[in-house]
Amino acid sequence: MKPYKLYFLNKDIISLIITVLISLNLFFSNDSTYVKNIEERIIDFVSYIVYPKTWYEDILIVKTENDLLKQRIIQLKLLNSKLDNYQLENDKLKKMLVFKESYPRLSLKPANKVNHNYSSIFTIILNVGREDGIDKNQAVLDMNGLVGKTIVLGNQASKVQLITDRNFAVSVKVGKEMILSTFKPTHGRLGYLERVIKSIDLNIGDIIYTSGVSQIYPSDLPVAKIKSIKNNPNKIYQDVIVEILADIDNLNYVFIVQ
Amino acid sequence: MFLSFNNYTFILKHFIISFILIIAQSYLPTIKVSNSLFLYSDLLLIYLTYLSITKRIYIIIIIAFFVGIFQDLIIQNETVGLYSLLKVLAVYSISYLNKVKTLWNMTFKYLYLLIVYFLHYFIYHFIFVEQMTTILSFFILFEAILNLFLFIVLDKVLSQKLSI
Repeated sequence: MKPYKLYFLNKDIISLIITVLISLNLFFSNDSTYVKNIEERIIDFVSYIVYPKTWYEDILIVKTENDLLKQRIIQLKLLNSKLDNYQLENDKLKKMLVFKESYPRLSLKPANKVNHNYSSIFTIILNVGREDGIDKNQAVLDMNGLVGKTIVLGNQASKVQLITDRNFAVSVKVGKEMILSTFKPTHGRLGYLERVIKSIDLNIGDIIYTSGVSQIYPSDLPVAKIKSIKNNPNKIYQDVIVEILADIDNLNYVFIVQ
Repeated sequence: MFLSFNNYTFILKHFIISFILIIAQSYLPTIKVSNSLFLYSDLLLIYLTYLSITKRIYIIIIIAFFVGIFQDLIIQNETVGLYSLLKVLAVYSISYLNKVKTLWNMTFKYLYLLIVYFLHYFIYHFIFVEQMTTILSFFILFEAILNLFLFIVLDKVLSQKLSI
């Protein structure tokens, strides 16, 4: 069907549409207040009509934004926990620095525990080795006290025998008289002192330090504190139970005495 | 082409009659309802009603459009296009009576005409008032009834085209 035939078939409608469009164009091209009022009313009406659509779109936008914000919250929480961890680590490192400066006569090499091995003896693995100037049988301590000694060396790692190992023993000095004794571990964080004669005046809570007699451990390193004292009349020596000062269960950063 | 050769005389004749009616309308008496409301007869609308019932509608639409613009320019030049729009819509709506000539009875046809007139005046007044009130709605209704009455009288007297 040709276009002009279509026109004559719908000439009523087409003439109506053309005249209406021209009339509307003429009407809305006026600058009078009446026309402006009508434009405002039409705008209000249109906005009222499309309000549900706008509302629905807003809801969708809010939902999308909500999902994004949830993801953002999770990211920020992870970042926050990471920063908290950094802060804790920073605090710990600051304390270690203070601890290191409190022993100016000792050369302390900081190290980080990388593994804990309970297979045969109580040992841990440190991230420093021969290349870092570490030797066998060097004392290891944390900020609280003696941790153990190096027993096996690699180039970049070393194994440490912990103070809780049954085979571990260290010479200590006890009481005001600085009488020599030997610390030996028993179970957990507990240990006992050998050959502490009854005449030595001891108090619960006293700190036991290394004697410096052995070549491995320098003197005056804190080892343990007295937990209980028993004087058995049938024995020559006192039964002195001590508690290890080092935080063996939560070792992270330690020092190797060089 | 079609308009130029076949309906030239017809269109020109009705244009002239329409312009005469517009001018004559300004001399007709009006009923003052309030300071701003005047009840008057719209002779042009009545004439276009007659034409839309009796003549081919697309020609009447074009006549209504141009006469409406002329009326806009004479009466209210701030809203040029308003009368032409209303007249065109009214004419097209009234032409629907041709399609239902044998289906509807006279009462229903008059009621339909009344509704078309009412909407025509309602939209016209809606443009010029801040708020549509009940009193104004009644005024528009009276205006529509007055013009319908005039149309019925003219229809009865002159041709009875609507009732045929």
